[in-house]
Formats: sequence, structure tokens, C-alpha cells
Amino acid sequence: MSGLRRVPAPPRARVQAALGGLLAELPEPLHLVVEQIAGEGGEIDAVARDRRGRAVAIRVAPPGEDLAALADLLAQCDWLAARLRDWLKLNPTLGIAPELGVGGLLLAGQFDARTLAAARRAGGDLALARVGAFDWQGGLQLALEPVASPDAAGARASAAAPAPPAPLAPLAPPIQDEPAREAPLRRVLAEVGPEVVALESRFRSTLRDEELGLPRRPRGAPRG
Amino acid sequence: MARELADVIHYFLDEPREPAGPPLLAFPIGEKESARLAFVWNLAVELARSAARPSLLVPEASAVHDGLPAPAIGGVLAPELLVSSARDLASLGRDARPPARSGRGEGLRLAVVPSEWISGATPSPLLAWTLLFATPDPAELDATFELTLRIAAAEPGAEIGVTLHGVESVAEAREAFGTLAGRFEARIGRPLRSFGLLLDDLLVYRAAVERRPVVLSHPQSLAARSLADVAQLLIADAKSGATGPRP
Repeated sequence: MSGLRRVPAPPRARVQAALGGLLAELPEPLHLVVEQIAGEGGEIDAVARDRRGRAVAIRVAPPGEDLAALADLLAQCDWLAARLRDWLKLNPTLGIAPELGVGGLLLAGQFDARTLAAARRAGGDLALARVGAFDWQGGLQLALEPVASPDAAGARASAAAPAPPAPLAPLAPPIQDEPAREAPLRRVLAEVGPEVVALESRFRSTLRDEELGLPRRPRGAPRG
Repeated sequence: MARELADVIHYFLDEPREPAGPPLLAFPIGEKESARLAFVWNLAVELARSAARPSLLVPEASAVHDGLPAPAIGGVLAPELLVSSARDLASLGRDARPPARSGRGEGLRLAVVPSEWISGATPSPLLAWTLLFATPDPAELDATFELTLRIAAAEPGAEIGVTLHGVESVAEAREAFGTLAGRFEARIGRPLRSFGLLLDDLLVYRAAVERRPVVLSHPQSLAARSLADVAQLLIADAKSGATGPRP
């Protein structure tokens, strides 16, 4: 597993550009509906839907602004909930179920302890996920690491000290030294290894070798 | 940048409110890639044969323009050839968009884009739907991957397609595409679109030299068959709207 190392989170725009693929890779995948729309006095980075059809507003927090982004996200969720039925009138095939309400997903490189506490208070309508960034053979790879359920975190917090800040640190040790993160990192490896397999892309052709006169020379023979 | 609902209304409507121009497909071609330019030319003629009503836009200033058989490239079944005076990606993008210059109603507009013009520093909706040619050679796959990254940087929502050529079997084409697509997905987070494979047939190049498209001069050839397969994939995607964000 050498060669894979955690690196600081990339610029917000880079995360936004990769949002579709990252959301699809979550344990409970989300499907993008629309990106970058104007909301209540600000911007919603994306609106997605889960497999039940619940709309999820998504914000990518700039570094160090996760607490403010959380407050903004809650406001955008409220703004969005009032408009989903109108969206459905415009396009009934959106797959969104307004009666399920609107959830929020906040993404950040790391979260302030106050953000974690606030998310806990918000309950199940809000989810947090860290944006993990990794260097693999010179290329930048991203992954979302869902933060433990705010409810569960709340139970721990009530019995002990407040939740500590996220332990993510720039240029952290190699991932095999972090057993707690093995699951999400294994997924990253599956995506970026040298024998990487395309997950969504599909080769298309209606032709077969015999229709094209292939192969034209014995296998293993050097190319001309 | 925040967008108003009016800016994203196309996400929610089944049909655009205003007539849009024909789907625009960009072909990044290097100045020495005459073989791939021959593919573009033959594909254009095959699309015309399939009643797709294509036009082909070529920048006059680029070296690739010299590689095109001119001026008539297919006789009666020729796609309309549009020559642009553009000298960079931005101006070529303007020329590629309506008002359409075709008098017969275009179904699909193809644009040859000098790949040297593409950089992440130059945003270009022209690249919203792009088709690249690639071979299974590892070094060429690396170069193609690098080009996909430049295209994705210039047009983050681009729908990028790949057609393999120079393969010894369909399985080899499938494997090479899977490798390239896997790298692209891991880096960009979106899929690549496959557009089959083309045969590197001497007939294609000979036809280019003789200024006769292979799909007309040798319609029963294996090369023509592979061109028809790719053309049908393009037509299907153009009809289904899987052509990237429309500027």
C-alpha cells in the first residue's frame, strides 16, 4: 500500500467539480439533481436525492468556515423545502419526494468541535462528511468519509468530554497505520490502483472480431 | 458562482424553450495526427450517409486544415465544410455556435479543434461534447488521459467520449477503454463515454490521399463497417441528448 498518502484537502472548486462521483460513492449513494443554484441570500452547491427520493442540499465548506457553512446550509434546507413542489411541477421526473422533507450534507476537510456539536443538535436532518484527499502516484484522489451519526456522537459526548476536532492532519502517516480508517481508504485504493477498473463507463460496440477481420496478426507478435 | 433559477431551468424542463443549435461535437486533433483527421472526415461522410445532416468546422489557421481533402469532401453526400478564421479556442467556439450557416438545416455540427489550443486556463463550452481517438499503446493512453484532464479543466461538465483504434481485437479495445475510463473516473469522478473502435485500415488513408471517403469508395470494407458503427453511436447520443452541457 506504499505510495498512498493523505494530503491536505484540495480547493473547494476541485471538490465541487468531483461532487457527482463522490456522492455516488457514499455508503448511501446520492444522485445529483442540480448544481450551484442561488438559494436564500447565498448559494447551494448542489441538490441531490437519496434512494427514497428525499432531497438533500449540499454545501462544500471553505477551510475554516465549516461552522458558518452549517448555519447557511440549515437556512438553505428551509428555503429549498418550500420550493420542491414547484420544481416537480416543472419536471415531474426529478424523482424527488417533497413530503420527505429536505436533508443537508455538509462537506469539509475538517470540522470544528462546535460544528460537530451543532450538527448533533440538528439531528437526523443533517449529515457531515470529511473530504479526504490522497496522493496516489502523483495524482490527487478524493473520497468522502461520513462522520459518525450525530446521534451516536451525542451519546458519547454526554458521557464524556465534548467531541474533539477531527483528527485529520495534513500529510498524515501512511494509511495502513490508521486502522480506524481502513474501510474508506480501501475503497479509495480500489478506485485508484494501477489496475483501476471503470465503475460507470461502459465500452460500447456492436462489432465482433470476426466482423472486423481481427486479429490481423498472431497474438504476441510485435506491433509494426 | 451562484446561478438563478432561470440559468438552470434546463435541468428541469424536458424541452428547451428556445430552439437550440445542432449538437456540437468537438474532435481534438494534433497537428501531426493526419490519420485521426482522416477518421473525422470519414465519420462526417458516414454521418451524412446516415441522414444526420452534419457539418464540419475546421479552423483555417491550424495545421490540420492542410490535411483535409478540400474543397469537396464527399460529393453529393458531403457534409458541409465550414472554414473558420479562428486562431484560438474562444473564437473557434464562437464560430461553432449558431447562427447556423447551413441553409439545409444541420443535424449535427462537428468541429476539429487543434489539441494544442486546449488548456485548463481557457474555459470553452466548445468542448462540452468531445470525442477523442486513442490506441491501446500505454504511452498514448497516458497522453490521451492527460488530454482528458485538460478538457475537463476547460469545460468541467464536458461529456468526453473515446474511440479506440489500432487494436488487435475488440477485447483489446474494451480493455484499453476500461483502463482509461477507470483513471478518468478516479480523477474526475465522472464516466467516459465509449464510442467503439475504428480499424486502422490502409484503405482509410489511401482514400484520404485520393480524396474519396472510404465509406463511399469501399462501402463494404471492414473499415467502413467500423465507421458506420461509431457513427450510429454518435447519432444515438445526439438524439438522446447525452452530449454534455449545452452552452
